[in-house]
Amino acid sequence: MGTVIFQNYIVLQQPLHHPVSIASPLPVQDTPCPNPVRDDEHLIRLAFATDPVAGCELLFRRYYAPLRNHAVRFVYSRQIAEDLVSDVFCTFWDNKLHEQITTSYRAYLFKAVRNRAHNYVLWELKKDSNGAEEGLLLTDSSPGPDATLLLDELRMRLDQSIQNLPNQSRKVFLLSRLEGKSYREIADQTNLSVRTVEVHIRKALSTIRQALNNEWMLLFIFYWLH
Amino acid sequence: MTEHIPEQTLFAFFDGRATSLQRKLIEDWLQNPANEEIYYAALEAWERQHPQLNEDTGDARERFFSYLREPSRNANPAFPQQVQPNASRFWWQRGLMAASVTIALLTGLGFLFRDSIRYQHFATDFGETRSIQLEDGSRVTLNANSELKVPRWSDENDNREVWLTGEAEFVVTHTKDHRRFVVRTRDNLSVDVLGTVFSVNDRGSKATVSLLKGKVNVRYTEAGFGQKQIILKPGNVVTVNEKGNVALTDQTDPEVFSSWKKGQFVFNNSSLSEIMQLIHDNYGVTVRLTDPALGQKRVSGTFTAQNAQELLSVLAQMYSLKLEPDNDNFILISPQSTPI
Repeated sequence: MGTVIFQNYIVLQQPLHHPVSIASPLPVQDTPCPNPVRDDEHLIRLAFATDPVAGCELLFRRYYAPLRNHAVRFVYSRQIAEDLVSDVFCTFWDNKLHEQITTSYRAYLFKAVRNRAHNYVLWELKKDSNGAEEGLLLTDSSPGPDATLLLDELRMRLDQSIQNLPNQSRKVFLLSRLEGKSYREIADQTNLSVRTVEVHIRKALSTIRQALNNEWMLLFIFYWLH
Repeated sequence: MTEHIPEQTLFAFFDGRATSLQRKLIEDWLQNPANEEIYYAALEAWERQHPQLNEDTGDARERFFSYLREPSRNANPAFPQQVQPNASRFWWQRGLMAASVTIALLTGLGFLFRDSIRYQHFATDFGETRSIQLEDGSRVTLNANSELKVPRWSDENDNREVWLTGEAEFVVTHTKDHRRFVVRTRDNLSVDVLGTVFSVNDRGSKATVSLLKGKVNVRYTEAGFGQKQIILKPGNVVTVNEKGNVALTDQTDPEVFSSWKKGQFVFNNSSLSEIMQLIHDNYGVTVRLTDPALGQKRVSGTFTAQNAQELLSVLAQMYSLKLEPDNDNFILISPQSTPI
């Protein structure tokens, strides 16, 4: 037993550069795999084939949490994110989509949630300018590959504009949107007047709108062209 | 067309860290519809690693499951068929009553989930380290399998407070108004600072705080003696065990304690079983020793390794052991204990 002291790590580093002899080496991360995604939806498909209710339950258990997590980044409200994701599952069930979709369930669900979240944000941005452009709403399976990246970039932009708000405005905004507090409650908690809370929220919303409007215009143009 | 985009690149994109070249590659790669599947699989994995909300799915699951079993689905008022952004189903467009019901509901939810609403959670996976810039400019480097909780907002007059499970190095900036920065670990330990570099390790049965620069005040609770505190000077390392017993030592090279940032492991007369524990904490890999006596062997030296396997194969070579994979784990076999 005793103590083994190694004077320096130059000696010790040496063996690392030799091929390590291990029965089955760990998979190297960067190797391309022939099959795009390991089909872990197999069980859910199997359940749908035998009992659609059980299949749908499995589907919900598997994807609800990550989908809600994704939706809240767009809509910035727990309640709306939950409603939105639940509605996507209801649509899935009502229309027996498990018999129709050709992609994975995952891809369908993520697309549907993102598109509805996008529609929601679009609607919120436009609601007071009265010019809601109906034609630009996305259906559950609409965006092509190019819009996919745009949606993620919009999500980042939204996050950034909220991070960039002045401290007090952000606090008031999040209290209102994520905790669903009334202006009165927020006013009591922050020692501000109700009027000031109102002003903060209006300012926050208009800052976010301004930051997003330009970005969203790009997406509109994109859809006009297609 | 791009053949393959590694998951790390997609993650970087989701984080908003992708270069424009990477973005272009992803865009080209997505032209192949099969790759969309990979994209969404990565997105799912990324969302699972970056939870925004408390795990609890509330009653949404029960509501959906009962919806599935309802014979007349179309007449269910509880679940509208479709979110119609213009259909005025959002609270600010409805009447006062609906709004107040929703507000009551949201307040209830807000109360239930206030932890996830008030705090941002940063967590690292096994074998992952991550650097986080806090709002005040302070930098935190999280070691593997660790979690940091940061308030989403704080009052200007308050201390800057964060909660840590696991291990991290803090580079704390000094604010103009001298607000204290407090790292809380388990109930019995907190570290207050003004501006400095130090690292905190709170794993298993003991917590270690080591100071690189500046001055920190470590508060802890000693069983039977209540709140105590100790002021660290650069180079000081303090270890507090579960009972609140404190050991203060000097480390001439405190860099040792954040060597993990460079993918290095520094052992100073550590037992093999301590190292196995460390591997378990950082990589989630369990290593079985065929000969329990092996656990008593002592190791000193600096090791550079990117993963558990690399580190283990060096240790195996040192002691002429055989390293064998065992599912996701490893077994270290000593030649004496196994019949050849």
